[in-house]
Amino acid sequence: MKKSKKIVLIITPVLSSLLFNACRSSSSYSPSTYSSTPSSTTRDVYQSLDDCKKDWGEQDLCEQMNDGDTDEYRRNGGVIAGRGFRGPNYYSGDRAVSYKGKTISPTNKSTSLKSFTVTSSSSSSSRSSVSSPRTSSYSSSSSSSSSSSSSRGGFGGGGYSSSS
Amino acid sequence: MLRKEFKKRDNYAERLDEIGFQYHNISSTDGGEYWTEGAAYEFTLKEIEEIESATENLNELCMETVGEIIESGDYAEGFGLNDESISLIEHSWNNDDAHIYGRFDLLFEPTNGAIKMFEYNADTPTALLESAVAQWHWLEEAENVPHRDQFNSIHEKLIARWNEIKPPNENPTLYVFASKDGHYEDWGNLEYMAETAMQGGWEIHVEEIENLGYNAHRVEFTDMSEASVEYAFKLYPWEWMMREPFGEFVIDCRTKWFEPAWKMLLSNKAILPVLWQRYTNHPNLLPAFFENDKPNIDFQHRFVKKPILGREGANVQFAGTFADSLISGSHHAPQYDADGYVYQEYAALPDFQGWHPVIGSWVIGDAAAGIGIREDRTIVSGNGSHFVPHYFVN
Repeated sequence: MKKSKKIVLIITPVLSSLLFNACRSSSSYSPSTYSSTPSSTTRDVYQSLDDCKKDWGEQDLCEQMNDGDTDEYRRNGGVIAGRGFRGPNYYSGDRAVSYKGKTISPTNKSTSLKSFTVTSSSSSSSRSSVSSPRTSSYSSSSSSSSSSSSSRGGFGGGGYSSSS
Repeated sequence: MLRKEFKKRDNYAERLDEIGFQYHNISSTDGGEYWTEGAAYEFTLKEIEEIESATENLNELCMETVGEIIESGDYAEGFGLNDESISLIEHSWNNDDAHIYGRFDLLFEPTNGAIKMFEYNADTPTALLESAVAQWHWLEEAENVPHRDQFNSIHEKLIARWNEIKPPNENPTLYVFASKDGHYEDWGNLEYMAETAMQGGWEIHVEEIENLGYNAHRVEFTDMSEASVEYAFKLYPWEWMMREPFGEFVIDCRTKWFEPAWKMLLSNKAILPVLWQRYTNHPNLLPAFFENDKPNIDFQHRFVKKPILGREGANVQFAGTFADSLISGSHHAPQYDADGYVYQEYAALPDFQGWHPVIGSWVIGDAAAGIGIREDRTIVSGNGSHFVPHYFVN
């Protein structure tokens, strides 16, 4: 029948692994390990949105943790009442992010809780929030390219979810 | 159309994780999880056929309208397009740049069968993985589902579409882009789309759009190893691209983009009043107007004011005589204010024990391919809504 799909989706049980292998074999990276240079990133955790906003100065850089994040945070020794908020990803040892073309460092006007460190292979670190590592910010042709190499970062300043 | 309760599958979380749907348990606005396991919507075959027919009719109206706008050069001011965007739209249309998919958001009124278009997510629609795969697994595995049939051939049609538009006698590479700032959902949708393209015969290279390069000497977009990017799928809106530094280079580069640039006309809510002007009283359209031709009547709570480039239900307001008011379920995002608004007649979503479902009806190529349903306690569906599977009976 035209409306239905009376066949088995033969690929779906191994969808993720197929994609992973495909990407590897075509010299691409896997989406689940797509962070480029660093080995780990860190996110500061706050009890409230206000605390996070005071520290980073931009509400868009803060997001509420979901239940899974909160559980993981607690499993790793974090103490928090209810669901807290997280600041943006930043590379460990470099507490700053690029946001809308500006480098933003925290003001330290509020106290964060134990920070949340994730390795680059964790999708939870690199696919959420609006942070952007400084090493990936837009390089203009004057600073980074010659006639034979490409400039990069000319797309991607949206800073919001693209979905509709 | 009915909303029915079902026993949850014991292993549903694992099954959803297995297909790459790791965001199924993201918290919705009401505190529940995004994926609804214990309920589903039941349709009759007749209802499904009506949704299918309405979807294909709406797609035809949209395609005709795009063609006529481009042929006439009569771009309504309300689209807010600059000259560069218009040139790119015309270039891509005249080049027959192929389109892959889109999702109409529809009202289905179960009491009289009315189907109305709220909007067309023609550029970066999401909820694809859950529509194509997750709800199909639910259909196969949940207990006591009558008839076990679903309006869903999204997966097969996507693979077929990618294969259909693949350049002949080539094994081309498709670069698949989203922003590194994208949410889980963006990357989940992107990975699934990459999977279907791979099965359609393309080599796949997944990449952050921030890593796309522009080589001024070669006048082309490049990957990280300086290879040419000839074909690119992006889950990144055209209107953002055209405002960013590389936007001006798109027209001169040979990269074929999916979705094509002419989709800028359909993903913009200015298409709603344009469609209404062209097909006034069409049964699947709601009256819609630009600011300068809205009806001169007291339309308190009879019209909804929507941003032309809004996403996730943001900034949707009741248009008031003296003041506008944000509708329950919407939220204000200032970045969507600047581009302007359109007005659309308010049409109430049906109420199933307090749940208000919106039908997301997928078009692959030009064919209706299936539906996915999002529901909420509020009357605007957004990022905090729930996805609910469906089935139909004869």
